[in-house]
Amino acid sequence: MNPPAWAQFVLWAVAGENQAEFVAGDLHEEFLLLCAERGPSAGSRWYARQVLRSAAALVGLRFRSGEAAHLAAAALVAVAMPLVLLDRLWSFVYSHIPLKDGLARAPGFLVANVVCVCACAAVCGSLAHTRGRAAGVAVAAAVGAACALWCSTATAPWLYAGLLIVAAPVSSMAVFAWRGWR
Amino acid sequence: MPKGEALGEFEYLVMLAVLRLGAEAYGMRVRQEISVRTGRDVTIGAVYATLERLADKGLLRASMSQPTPERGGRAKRSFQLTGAGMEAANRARQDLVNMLEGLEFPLPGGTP
Amino acid sequence: MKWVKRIAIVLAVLLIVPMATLLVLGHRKNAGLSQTSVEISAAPDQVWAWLDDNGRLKQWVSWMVDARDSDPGEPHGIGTKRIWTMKDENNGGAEMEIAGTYSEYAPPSRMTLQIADKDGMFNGETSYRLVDLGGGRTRMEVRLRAHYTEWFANLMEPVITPAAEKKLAMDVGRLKRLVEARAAAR
Repeated sequence: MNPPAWAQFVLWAVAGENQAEFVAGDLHEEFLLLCAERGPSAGSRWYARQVLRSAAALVGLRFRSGEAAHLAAAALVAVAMPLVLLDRLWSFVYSHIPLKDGLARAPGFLVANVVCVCACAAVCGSLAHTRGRAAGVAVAAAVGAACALWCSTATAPWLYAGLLIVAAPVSSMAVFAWRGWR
Repeated sequence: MPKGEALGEFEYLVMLAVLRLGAEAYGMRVRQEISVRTGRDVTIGAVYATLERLADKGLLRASMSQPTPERGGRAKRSFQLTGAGMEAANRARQDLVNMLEGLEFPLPGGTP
Repeated sequence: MKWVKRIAIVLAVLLIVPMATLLVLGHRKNAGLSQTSVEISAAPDQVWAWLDDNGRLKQWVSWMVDARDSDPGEPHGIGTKRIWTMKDENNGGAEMEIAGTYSEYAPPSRMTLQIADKDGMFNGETSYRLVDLGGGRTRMEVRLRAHYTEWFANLMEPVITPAAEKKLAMDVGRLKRLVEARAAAR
């Protein structure tokens, strides 16, 4: 007998690597007792309620332990900030073109953005020591890329936007995996 | 006593639960102990946040146990009061006793 | 703090290597020069009208919102001035004025203007050459050489110039379509 899979997923997503195992173990133990007393449905409902009501406190714990700071840094400092700065740089370049130009960016500039973001996301991935943390960094990098794209003044093709949002987390996970194989 | 060293109400309940449970003082048991004795439906998240905060303050000490099947193959983290934790618990009790001195309970108009 | 150092090192490398490359490229022979050419199925005087007339200029130079003569009524010639107003989409839609002074004027074959923007960001020269290929066809050659006054813009020149050349080619392509459509309609 197992607790609802979605609730377990949410628990591991919010609790972070430092606490998830112990909290999950405690909830599992009490879940089994409740299932024996009141039945699997009641047990599952109790487990889900505990996870949802505990989410805020567990996220707060993550921030205090520094894990959330690493993820936020991965998203903001490593990915979003360079992208925003590059966007401002290209705006500067384009505003200096005599006879002016529009908001569409040359492919070379877009490639430079992707390369830079992949490099920064890879650095963040290299600093993760566990799979859970690496996954968190990858998700944070994708979110950072999406936020920077949203703030961009330029028009960007969908292919570029999709490539950026996918390439950032892939770079991060690839470096983490490569370090594990060495 | 310097500000910040005083125990919050829930912190005190958690420390008392740890004291009562002895070697079995871990998240789930602390949560159940408080629930049964106070009637409060506390969450496991609130308990763990408080246990970590007390451990950071040096009032609790954590120890790890081996994974067990009834925990889905996961390890258990148990807590015990440190010397500083005992002093803090004693102080909190004394503060409560001092404040309660001369008052008669149950108070008129409230439920006992 | 380890991750801050690593990210800072990566960003520094990403900054220093391109800057060094830009500095080297900035000293190349054709720095600041954008040029393009196109063959148009129209006679040189038909093409010339689209270069010399302010109303028609606005139709093929994208982002140009206004074009006027500095001294209305005075015929174009060496020393006369034209003012072009461009909308800069990359600067919040701000309007920029570029002044061009004729330094060469020989219709319908040659025109050169010394250009400078009102804010002093750049100055340079733009020239148009129309070569009669016969049979109602013209080859138009456009050269634009720009010099940037700001040090950072000068550093970025190797990036700006290719983008300017691409922009020039697009505008000239639009001119070709407009001229040929008008010539065919006659």
